[in-house]
Amino acid sequence: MKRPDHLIHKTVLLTFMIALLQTLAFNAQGKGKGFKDIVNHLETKYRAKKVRIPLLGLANFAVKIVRPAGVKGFKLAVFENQDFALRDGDEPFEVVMRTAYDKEWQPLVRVTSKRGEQNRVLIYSRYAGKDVQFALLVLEAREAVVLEVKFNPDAAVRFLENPKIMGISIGKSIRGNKNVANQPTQNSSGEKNADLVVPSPETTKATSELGEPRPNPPLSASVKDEINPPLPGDEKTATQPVEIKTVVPDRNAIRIETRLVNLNVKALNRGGQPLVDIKPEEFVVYEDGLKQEVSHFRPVDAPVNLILLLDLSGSTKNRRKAMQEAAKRFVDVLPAQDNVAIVAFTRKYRPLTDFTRDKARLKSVLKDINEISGDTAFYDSMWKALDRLDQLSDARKAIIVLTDGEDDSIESTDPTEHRFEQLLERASEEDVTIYPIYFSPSNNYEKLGVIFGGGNLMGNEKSRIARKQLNDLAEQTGGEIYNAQREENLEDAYKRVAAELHTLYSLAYSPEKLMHNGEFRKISVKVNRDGAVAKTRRGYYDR
Amino acid sequence: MIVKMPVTVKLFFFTILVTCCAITQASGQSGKLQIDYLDRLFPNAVQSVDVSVDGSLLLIAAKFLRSDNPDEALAKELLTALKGVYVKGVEFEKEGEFSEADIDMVRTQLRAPGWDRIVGVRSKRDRENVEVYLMIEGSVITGVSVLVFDPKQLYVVNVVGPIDPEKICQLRGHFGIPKNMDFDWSKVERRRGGI
Repeated sequence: MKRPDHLIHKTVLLTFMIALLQTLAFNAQGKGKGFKDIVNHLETKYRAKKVRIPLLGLANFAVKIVRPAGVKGFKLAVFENQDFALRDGDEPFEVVMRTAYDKEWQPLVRVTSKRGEQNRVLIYSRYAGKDVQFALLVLEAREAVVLEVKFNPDAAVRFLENPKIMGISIGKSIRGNKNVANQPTQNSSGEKNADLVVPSPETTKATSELGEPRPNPPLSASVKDEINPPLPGDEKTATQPVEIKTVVPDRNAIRIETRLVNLNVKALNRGGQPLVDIKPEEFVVYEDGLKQEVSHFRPVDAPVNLILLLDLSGSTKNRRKAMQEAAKRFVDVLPAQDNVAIVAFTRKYRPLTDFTRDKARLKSVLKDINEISGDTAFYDSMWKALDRLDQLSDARKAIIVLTDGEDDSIESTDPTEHRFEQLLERASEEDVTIYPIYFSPSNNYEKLGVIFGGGNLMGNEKSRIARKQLNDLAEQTGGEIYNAQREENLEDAYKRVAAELHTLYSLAYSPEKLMHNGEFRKISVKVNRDGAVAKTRRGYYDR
Repeated sequence: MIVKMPVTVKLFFFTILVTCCAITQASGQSGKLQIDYLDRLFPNAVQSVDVSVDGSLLLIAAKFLRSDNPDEALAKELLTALKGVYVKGVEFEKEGEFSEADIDMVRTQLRAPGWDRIVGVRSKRDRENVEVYLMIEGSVITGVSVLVFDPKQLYVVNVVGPIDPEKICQLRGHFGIPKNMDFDWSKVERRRGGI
């Protein structure tokens, strides 16, 4: 008789549990219209698929029962490797969130960046008695997270004070020791930096990876710099000191000074083959022989922002078809996460697209280059390309320029705005790697060079100068020059550049001393691995 | 060292960032600026920020700070008194996306009685401008506003609520507040009427 009773008891208990689970699941669905609507929007608008998180439902059920750290429930959806890139005409996510969540939900944070990873962050909050609910939507070009969480702040505080789950202690207080003042932050401590305030690497790291807008300023005269802490990749910090003197009446002054030097570094083995598995700790950076502390690192597979610069001057006109086809194939072989802008130049700088991951769009604009023709302002166009890359916050930047390099200035008949020396000096200071693809002048020009060569620079001498200049640009920036003397070489050159781009690591450091004496600071990078060598730009001018 | 962080970790960092904003930016509804009109600039901006942390949320944030730790207790006191922290910011690719009138709408509010401009920095080289205003009622600071702009960006920070600068000074070296910040607030020259 005991046995059936026991079975009945178990069955009743099991039925009750299933009913409870269903009720909770139903309630969750009913109350969670906001969350559900956002997830639906991502699934329908972007055709995105959620990442399957094992036991998420069970975890949610457990949280509802156990309520750890005051958390009463959560809903989470993660999307990875999808295409959430910003498109023209997209409905702003504020509107989507506002439609999904009723007016009891108040916007707390709205951040949108169309740069780099295209971060969009929306946080809404709602008070429900003693509880608080947060709804978070974080979107990047390739990832998204939707989170809704309800928690009791008082219970959370109690948990931090005395971490217990279901009455079982799980350790000491998470909130640290009582009566002990916090240690000074790395930012503000240290006699070495008597009046130097440098954002903590952790803060910079977090903001940099997030690609988020800068933290808001504290109440101090240093407010300006706190709004704009240096980020890796920010041109103002990459090669120029950020120096802000804020003067308040009556002699009080705070001087804030910092600099980040960004490096794109290639590691090679003895055979000259790229090494793509170098760990951050294996890199050692020296500036004028002094070891520097590397504060930021990005691996070879991190996205690259690149400008594909096409010389459409008269000297390349006969080879347009080959240029188009090779450029299209180049776009095809680039990893999907790379951001590309296509620019044509003659005497004018002509952006054909802004930075985009839309390969179809990139390839479609290449069709329209046939009609463009003119003289050559190579230096000025490179200058403008550097200006454009300067506006990006991401440090991984490159220019791939397909040109014969024959700027009108070489013959001094029609000088351009910038001289080569100016361009080279600037390029050597920027964190942009330049890959020239040397496309030799068309046959007609070569013939003219043979006929008229000797007395003037037309022909071989002009080509020689142009080629040397391209070589210098590549060498100074840690890039490589590729030859495409013949049309059939073009495709191979592009393929090699595409492969080369993702052999670059990005490192950043803050120099120990800033002298502002205009002298050149020589940079060298070593790899702590047998037979490995590193290649990067040669240095920068300390201005 | 940074390796690519999962989105969840980024979320965590972002939450910390928001909390830090609330802590490091000290901040009465009387000092609250009307800056919602800046929302119309958002669609064309390459980067936009809108943070709106009200008093209730600041109180919740304050709960997480201990009363028995001297530094945290100070920060808790500051936070508990605040009524709100509001930030709006936009950055553009090119110049001319916002007008002088957009800046003047903030400045006009900051010319109202009670607001004093205490810091004004203009860089001819970078064409950057920083203006810091305090709302002072009697001897108490009840609001802080910061206006930062150059031809391509505009940021407005508005902290509302009583702020004791002495307490902030005591927090030097903590929560990201510079250790060497050495203000003698009693000597801050008051300039009525804004700019």
